[in-house]
Amino acid sequence: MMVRLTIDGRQIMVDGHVNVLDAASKLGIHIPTFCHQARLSDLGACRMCLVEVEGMGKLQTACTLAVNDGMVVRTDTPRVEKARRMMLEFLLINHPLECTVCDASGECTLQDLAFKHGSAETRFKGKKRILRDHIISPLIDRNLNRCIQCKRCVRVCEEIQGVTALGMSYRGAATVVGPFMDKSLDCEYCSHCIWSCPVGAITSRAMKHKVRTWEMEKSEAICPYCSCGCTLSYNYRDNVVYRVTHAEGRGLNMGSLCSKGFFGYDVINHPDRITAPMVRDADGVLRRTTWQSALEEVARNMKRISRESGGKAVGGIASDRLTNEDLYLFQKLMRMVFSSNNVDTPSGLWSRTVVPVLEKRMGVRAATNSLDDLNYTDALLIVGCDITVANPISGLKVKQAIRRGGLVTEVNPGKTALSRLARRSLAVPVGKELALVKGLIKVILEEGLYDSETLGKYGKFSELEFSVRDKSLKEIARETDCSVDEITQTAREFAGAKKASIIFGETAVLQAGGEKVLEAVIDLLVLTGKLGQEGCGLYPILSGTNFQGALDMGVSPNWLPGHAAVSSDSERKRVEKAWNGKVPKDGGKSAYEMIQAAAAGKLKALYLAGVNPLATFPGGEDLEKALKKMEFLVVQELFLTDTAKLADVVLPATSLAEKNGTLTNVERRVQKTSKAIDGLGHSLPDWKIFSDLGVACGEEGMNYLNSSEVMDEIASVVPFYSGINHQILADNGLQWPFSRDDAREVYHEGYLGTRHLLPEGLSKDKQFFAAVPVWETHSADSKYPMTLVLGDLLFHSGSFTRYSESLNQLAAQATLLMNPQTGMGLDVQDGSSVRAVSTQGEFTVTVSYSEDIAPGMLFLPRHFKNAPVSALMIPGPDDQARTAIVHVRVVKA
Amino acid sequence: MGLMTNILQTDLIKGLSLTIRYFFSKPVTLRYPEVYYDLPERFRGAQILKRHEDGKERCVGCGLCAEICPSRAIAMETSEGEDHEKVVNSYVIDLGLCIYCGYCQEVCPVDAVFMGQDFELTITDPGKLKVTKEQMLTKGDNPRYDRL
Ligand code: SF4
Ligand code: SF4
Ligand code: SF4
Ligand code: FES
Repeated sequence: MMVRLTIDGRQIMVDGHVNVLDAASKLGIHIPTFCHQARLSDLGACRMCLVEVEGMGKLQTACTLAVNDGMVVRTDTPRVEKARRMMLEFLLINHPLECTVCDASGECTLQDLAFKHGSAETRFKGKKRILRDHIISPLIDRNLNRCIQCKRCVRVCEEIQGVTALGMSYRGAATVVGPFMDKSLDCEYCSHCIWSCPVGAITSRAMKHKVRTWEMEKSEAICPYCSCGCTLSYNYRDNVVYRVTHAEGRGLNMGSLCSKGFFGYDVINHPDRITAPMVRDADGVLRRTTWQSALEEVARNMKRISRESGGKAVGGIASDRLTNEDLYLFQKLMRMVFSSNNVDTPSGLWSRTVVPVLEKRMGVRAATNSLDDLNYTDALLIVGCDITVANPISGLKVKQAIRRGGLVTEVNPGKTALSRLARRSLAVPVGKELALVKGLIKVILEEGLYDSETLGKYGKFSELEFSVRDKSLKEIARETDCSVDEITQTAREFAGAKKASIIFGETAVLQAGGEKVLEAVIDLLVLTGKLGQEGCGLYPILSGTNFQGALDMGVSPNWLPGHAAVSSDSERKRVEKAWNGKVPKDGGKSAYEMIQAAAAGKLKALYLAGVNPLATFPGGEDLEKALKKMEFLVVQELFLTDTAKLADVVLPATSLAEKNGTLTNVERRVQKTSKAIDGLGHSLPDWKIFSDLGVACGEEGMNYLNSSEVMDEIASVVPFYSGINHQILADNGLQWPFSRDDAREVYHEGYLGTRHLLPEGLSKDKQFFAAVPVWETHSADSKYPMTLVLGDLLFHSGSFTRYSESLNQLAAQATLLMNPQTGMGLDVQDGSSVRAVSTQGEFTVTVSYSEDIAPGMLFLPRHFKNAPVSALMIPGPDDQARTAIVHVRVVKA
Repeated sequence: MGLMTNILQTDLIKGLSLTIRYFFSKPVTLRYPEVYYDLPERFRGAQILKRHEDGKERCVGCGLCAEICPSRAIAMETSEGEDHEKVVNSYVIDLGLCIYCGYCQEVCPVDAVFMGQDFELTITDPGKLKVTKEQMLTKGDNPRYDRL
């Protein structure tokens, strides 16, 4: 219902649900506020937004006053102005006047409003209230005296982050805001409270007292730490990034960030950054040199080895943290200049496992829907993924869905931050996810909950029925550690919901036989008809920042740019024509295969761009031996990592804050990220290094002026990127497939592209069920009976954030998480040291008891040096090396 | 009239009498650099920094002086101290850039920085024009600034 009201003599028609504050802002009339914040519930706590309403005697708070037809509002009368002045006077009774040293100064609402509406004098002569305070956390600073009790921090923590780590205690002038019992802060460090506080009561300790707000310039960029692709704003002065701020209302994250995005910027200006190229000299020492001589060294050796031993003896692995432009040029360099299809990225394993199944079953190669859909989902099934860690901001969207009444069921080997909020959290042991999904299918078939349209298309589900016949629900429940009731309820909720989706993650896929779980999940979606509609779809989620872009750009041994098969002659021809060069015919080796080939002496030269295999690849000592054996090793990095120390040439690259480019996030959104500061020292953006190296090899086709030129070429080579260029991406990017003429669907403001794949549902040839016959993907071996899940922590991203001092304050050491029950069984105490032994290797680590992890399972974060997970992971070709799950034996050290 | 003056040379006599008068009166110039002129209180020379009675620096590192300086002559680095207070790690004024407008003194909310009396800025090494916090504090300790 629309209503008409008059504000300051101007008329406006607005939706009847909005409040006077919003109506006024639509007219461009600014009403001062403290406690109001977009996306938060309104409280009416600060009384700064008082307005005069005809027919209402007292002044009203605009933020809580619903509009009414015929309402006449005035925001500019002397009475309103006086009320504002008095509110400010009240607040300033106790607010300390320490703007000179307060880090919020310059962007403090109280400061601004006092300037605009306040009076210069105070009529209160008493002493200011001084509250005792203490440090509540290593990264978040609280100053109780500055607090104006607006409760924004409390509300944002509860309503957006769903953590409820902050609360208000005591009353009146003694009111204090802080963690429970005023202990130290135990939370997700999402930084929302820092963002929300209108004054300087909650600030970041990472930049405390280092810089003044007005001294910094701001530049919007995309966060480098996960595949969510949040928009953030780098704040810098004199080529130093001093902080990250939330880009209010911008991006798919609407400004929200997680701990990594907000605090992880200190890697950029880290003192240990490599700032000049280095070449190993005759004495075996890495020495600084010029770009020219370093590039010549690389060009000479790579070309020589490629010529003498063939392109197969050369390989390259690039990080999925690089931009599309970087990655595209990387594979072009390897293929065209060094004649090798040995190109891969660490997330290639995931792509090669997931994408063929998606392609076979649905004809798509990425998530079918948008992350924004998650906000409105009615039922969500999360399999083998801690969404709050893999993609924290997608996690926030799930939390919003829960607040709206969405029914979320988690299937994970342990509890997550969502477990407390979700409808149910099923701690299903690794390997039994398949049984659970099949159980859901069984219930749906037995109770006839399937989609009638699907039934119409398929006729009957006999194959599927057959595949779930040999186990009763009771058996399934026993195997999966759930109750029959939990399984039936989940199935009913999922089938009955209008909008239902499935999120699918690493723990389920990156285990032996993980594809089968994915097949069963797709069966479930098809059976219930939850595909091809808004809010219904599948989200395969990997945390690697640009894993989707790496795949799209053809950083893969068997796919060219645009997911074109290397083996296809016509596709190769097409790419060769665009490049005016040659693409080798035979498929290449995957990253782990390259390492094995290196160990066998078959791979002689390796180019590593942004990857640190010694920290993240399987193999431990074998891996190190293989790398040392390499005839020529190039490492392009920001830091002198353990791997870089072995290199023959080290090339200094820039971080994401120092370059322009695009990244493709988990929902196919191609976004532009912009340079904030100049490259440190002599470091160069990765694309530039590849381009210069190509030119040094005598290949003029590798010469590019800037990254935008590279994108133009990508758009001409990758069909579903056609029409994309840096200019069109300026606002929030767009979701591929996109072409300027067709397939263009504009939604929200400034959002372009294809929001949902499969709008017509599955094509005829995809209408079948996999009807997976088996019930479990794998089971533990008696010599290595424990299942170890290698995963991420919320506070880190790969091994890269080891260099962030701030994030290390939150977590710097790995401990082996185990359920106390498991611990008791093994006779190891909380805090004791154990040896974790796998068929590959072993190391010693400290145990930490946690009820969050299911009995029989172990969890180990893979970020830290003290737990070199590489030693445990088993190398091999794709179907063997499944890096999320390792079977181990735990022995007392 | 003109003729009489010419004949009697009265102009010359007037002029000479002035010379003779000044020859026997006290000189108005100073024998700089042996002798210094008494500068007016509000003379704007090179900046000095003041301390509190207890010896602590007055400057709180608010950066307002650096912000207001029209020639961007002031650069400062600050950080969190041991007691979580704000510490000024470095404070440098480039006197080669400074135009001696006195805005920094004007804006300082804690009366830490003042335009001093020091005007002898001729140097051979331009680097010396960058004056550090320590140098400015030492200058500020001079008793002639006790009034500030
Ligand atoms: S700490 Fe800040 S956001 Fe929280 S209640 Fe106080 S003033 Fe408001
Ligand atoms: S959710 Fe991902 S992209 Fe967003 S701020 Fe966190 S790490 Fe960065
Ligand atoms: S204005 Fe005064 S207190 Fe602020 S930084 Fe300059 S000298 Fe220090
Ligand atoms: S903004 Fe309306 S009462 Fe605070």
